[in-house]
Amino acid sequence: MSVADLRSSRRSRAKSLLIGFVVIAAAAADASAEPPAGAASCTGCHPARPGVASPVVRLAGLDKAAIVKAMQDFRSGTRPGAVMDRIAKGFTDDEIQAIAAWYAGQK
Amino acid sequence: MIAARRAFLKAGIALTTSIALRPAPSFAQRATPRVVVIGGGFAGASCARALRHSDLPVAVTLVEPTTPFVACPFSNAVIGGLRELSAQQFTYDRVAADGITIARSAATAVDAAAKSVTLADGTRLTYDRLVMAPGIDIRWGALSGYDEAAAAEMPHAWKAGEQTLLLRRQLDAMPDGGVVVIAAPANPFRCPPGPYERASLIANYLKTKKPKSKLIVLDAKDAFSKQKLFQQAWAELYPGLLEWVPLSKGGKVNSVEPATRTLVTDFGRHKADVANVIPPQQAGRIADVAGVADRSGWCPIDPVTFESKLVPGIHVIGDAAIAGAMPKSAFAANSQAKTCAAAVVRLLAGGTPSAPKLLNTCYSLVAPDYGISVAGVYAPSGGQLADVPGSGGVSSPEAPRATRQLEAVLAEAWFRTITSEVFG
Repeated sequence: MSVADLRSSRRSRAKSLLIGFVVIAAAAADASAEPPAGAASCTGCHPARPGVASPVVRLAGLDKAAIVKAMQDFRSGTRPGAVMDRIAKGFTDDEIQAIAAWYAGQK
Repeated sequence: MIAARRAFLKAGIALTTSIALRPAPSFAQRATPRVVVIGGGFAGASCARALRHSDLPVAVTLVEPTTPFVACPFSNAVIGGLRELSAQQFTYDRVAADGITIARSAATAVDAAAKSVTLADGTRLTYDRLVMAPGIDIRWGALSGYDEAAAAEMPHAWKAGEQTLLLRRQLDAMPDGGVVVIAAPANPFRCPPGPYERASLIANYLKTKKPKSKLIVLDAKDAFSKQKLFQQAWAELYPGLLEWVPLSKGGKVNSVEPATRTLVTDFGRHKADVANVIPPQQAGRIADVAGVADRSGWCPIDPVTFESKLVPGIHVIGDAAIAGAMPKSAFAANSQAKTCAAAVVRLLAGGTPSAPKLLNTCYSLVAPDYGISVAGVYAPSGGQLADVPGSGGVSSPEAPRATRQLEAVLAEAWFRTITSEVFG
C-alpha cells in the first residue's frame, strides 16, 4: 500500500466516520426534539414520568409496532377503549406511525 | 499533518452536531431568548416547563403571585365532602427546580411595543415572547346583585380555594330538609361539565347525609355538556332530589339578593338555604390590560401558534383563549401549553411552526364510583381549532355500570398524572 493509498483510505474512513456522526447526531435530535403532531398531549393521561399510580400505560420506550397496533385497533373498534376509541379516530396512519416512533425513542 | 486533520475532523463533527441539534440561527451571537409566562395554572406552568425542556436554551420567568396553586378539577369532590382541599394544592418547587424563575408578584401592565411586563412589586421583565395564561376572572356586576361582597354569602367556588371551603361549610351547616340552589351560566365559561358534576356530588352528599333536602339547578342554557349521561345518572341515582330547570322553563337567573340568599328569574323567586352562583366570566383581567381580549372578554388566537390575533408577540393559552371547539378545561390547557411552547421555540429559532393536533379528555364524577367522560381531537381549520371529523364524543349511554366505575378510577388517575406532569 503506497502512502497515497494509505492517505486515501484514511480519508474515506474519516469521511464515513463523519457521516456516521452526523446520522447519530440527527437521530439524537429526533429522539429529544419536538414531538410530532398530537404526541405531546398524550401525557395528559399517559404518565410522563415513572411512579405515577395509574392503570394507564406509560408510552415512553414502548415498542413502536405495539403502539401502532393499539391505535389502529382502537380506531377500528377491534379493541374496546375507555376514551382511546374516541381519540384514535382523530389520527391518520402517518400520524400514528410518527407518534409511535417518537414514544418508542423516549426513555 | 495527521494531527491537523484530526483537529479538523473534530471541529467538523462538533460543528455538525451543533447544527443537527440546533437548526436555529446561532444564539452564541446574542443572548439566550427570554420568555415570560403570566399565570401558574395548568396552562402557564405546563408551558413554562415545556419551554425549559425544549432543545433550545430559553430563559423562562413564570409570573404567579399565589402559592400554593389550588387545582379546580376534583374541587367539586371537596365541596361534596369526598376529598380534602390539601389534595388540590401544589407548590412551584419542582417548577423552579427546572431552572424557571418564579416571580411571586402579579402582572399589572404589559407594554407590547417595549416587550415588557410590569409587576405589582415594581419589577419590569423584558421578553422576546410573552405567554399569557391568566385563567378566568368573575365578571362582577354582569349578574345584577352579584359582586365580591355577594360572593361571601353566595359563593361561586369557581376558583378553587377559600370559596370551595366556604360552600362546603355552608352545606355542612345546612339542616336536613334545606334547599340548595346552583345557578349555572350561559356559554362560554370555565369547565363546561363542572356545574353538573357539582350538582351530582352535592346531590350525593345530600342523599347520604341530609336526604330530606332538595337541589335545584337554575340554568341560563337549554343544553349542556354530557347532558344525556348526566340526566340518565341523575334519574338513576338522585330521583326526586335533583331538579334541573333549563332556560326555556325559566332557569335563567336575572338577579340575586345576597342578604336573603334569593335568586330571581323571569318565572319567580327562589329562596335558598345554600346558594352557589356560578356567574358570567371573562379572561383574567391582565388579558384586557394587555389588549389581547376582544369585546367578548376572551382572547382570539392563531390556532397553530396561539399567538394573539390582536397583539403580536403575545401568546394566549388556557381558559382565557378562544380556542374554537376546545373547551376551557385543565386537559385542554395542558395540551395547548405544550403546543404553544413548541411553536414559541420554533419562532424564536427563526422557523415556522407546523400544524398541531390537540386533545381534550374531561372526566366528571356523578357519584364517587360513577364516572363519565368527553374526549376530543382538534386541528386548525378555517382559522380556528376544530373537531377532527369522526373523532371524539362522550361515554356510551349504554355502557354497563362497570364502565362507569372504571371511568371514576380513570378520573382520579388522570388527576394524579396531569398534576405530576405539571407540578411534580
